[in-house]
Amino acid sequence: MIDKISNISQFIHNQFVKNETKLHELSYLFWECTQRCNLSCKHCGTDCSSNSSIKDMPFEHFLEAILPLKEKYKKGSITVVISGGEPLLRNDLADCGLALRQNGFRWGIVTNGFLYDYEMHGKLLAAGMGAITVSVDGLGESHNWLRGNKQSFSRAMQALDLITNSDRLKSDVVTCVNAKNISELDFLKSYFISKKVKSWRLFTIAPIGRASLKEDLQLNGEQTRYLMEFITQSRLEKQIDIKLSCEAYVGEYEKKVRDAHFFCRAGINIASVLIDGSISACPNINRHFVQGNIYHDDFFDVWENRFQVMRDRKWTKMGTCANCKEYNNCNGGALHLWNENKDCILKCLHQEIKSAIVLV
Amino acid sequence: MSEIIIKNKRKILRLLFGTLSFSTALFVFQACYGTNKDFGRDVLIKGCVRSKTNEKPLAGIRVSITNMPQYTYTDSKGQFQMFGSSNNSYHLIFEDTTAHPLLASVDTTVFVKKTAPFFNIFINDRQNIQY
Repeated sequence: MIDKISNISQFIHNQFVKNETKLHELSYLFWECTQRCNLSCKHCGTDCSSNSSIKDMPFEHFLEAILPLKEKYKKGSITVVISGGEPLLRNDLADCGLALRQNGFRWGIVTNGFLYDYEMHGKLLAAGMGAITVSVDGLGESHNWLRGNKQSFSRAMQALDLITNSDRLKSDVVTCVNAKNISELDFLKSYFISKKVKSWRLFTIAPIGRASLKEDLQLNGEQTRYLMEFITQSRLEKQIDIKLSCEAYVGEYEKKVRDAHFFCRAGINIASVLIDGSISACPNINRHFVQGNIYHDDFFDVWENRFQVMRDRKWTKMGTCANCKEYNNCNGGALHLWNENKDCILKCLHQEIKSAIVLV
Repeated sequence: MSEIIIKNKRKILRLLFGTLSFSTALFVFQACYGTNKDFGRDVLIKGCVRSKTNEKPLAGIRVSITNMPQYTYTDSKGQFQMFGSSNNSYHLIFEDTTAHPLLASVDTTVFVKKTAPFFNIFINDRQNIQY
């Protein structure tokens, strides 16, 4: 009976995905405002650095490109997610945010929290920031090791103290689960509960960016299954809002580890303006998927008339996906796990979980 | 015209599928490496700070809200704008935070309905204050 309901639910969800793809309403826009970063994370998906030679994008260029969206979408329906690099390194961050709000956009940031002190908190809230995500990748030592800075954990915790006490902010902590920190998940959970963290989102380390060179950090099938069980159990306990990020289809764990079925919305509801003006979807997607550039294309025109590679994903039925029985539920997984050759997904959590069953 | 009809039809289907799947998360999603979407309420408070002596706009005055972390500074036209967490009233503080302040601090309570009106604030020179 439960299986039957689950199948019906998945079927309805698949119809929802098809409908949403045809509608392709933009509601989530990343702005990669800088590639500078004050940390040097071993698993960085964008391979940014403290001495990036690439200049920050002037805010006026970004605003000019997205301003026509004001006429096309309802006020407040698009959230601009300012990412990097580390967005707090930009001195004009609050000015950018205030201007976004004045033009009808909502905004938030993804940060390592290192520079997030009381002054910054007040300044960004005053500029209308409404959402923030802080990355925490383990307890003190392993977080600091992964982030390459001995103070990074304590600074992130200071940021969390400010953020969790704010009623205005929609906030969460995101953890990149890898072979080094997976044994700490229980401790981390208790710690976050004690810190009154509102929401905790976990994702698995992906073999992209700098992490592609760190094979020892990748999870194996058993560790992936352990992670799914950990999230499932923790959700049942209801002590903290915990979920797997929308990074992959996970078969039998769908809806056990997150609120909705898997749906990669890259290019369907999500776009980005990258540091060089490139127009794409999530910033961690391979840059070969770029659809245009704000310096010579009209952003809205690109959004409306390109992005076919992301909206019609039949091409992903190859490699591991070619003979997968659950392809219709997954559509080739998350786009950031496809490289420029587009010949095989780099990692399939569903397969890894299944392989762990065989071992058991 | 037909394009608008098709779009509206799809929006109805979106509601239908979302409702049938019993999942509000279909409408409020989050990118795997992004923040939550923001639907929260806050209020834009804006105004102008002038000298009580000569009515000239005052730049660099710190404007903050009591019991809230939000703050900003007035610009060269004496104007400020900042978002406050949704409330019915705000206790605003206006301060000259320079090393040797020449202006007196002012605080005032402002009442807000859905949107805040434009506030005009006048600050006295310290020397003009009679204790």
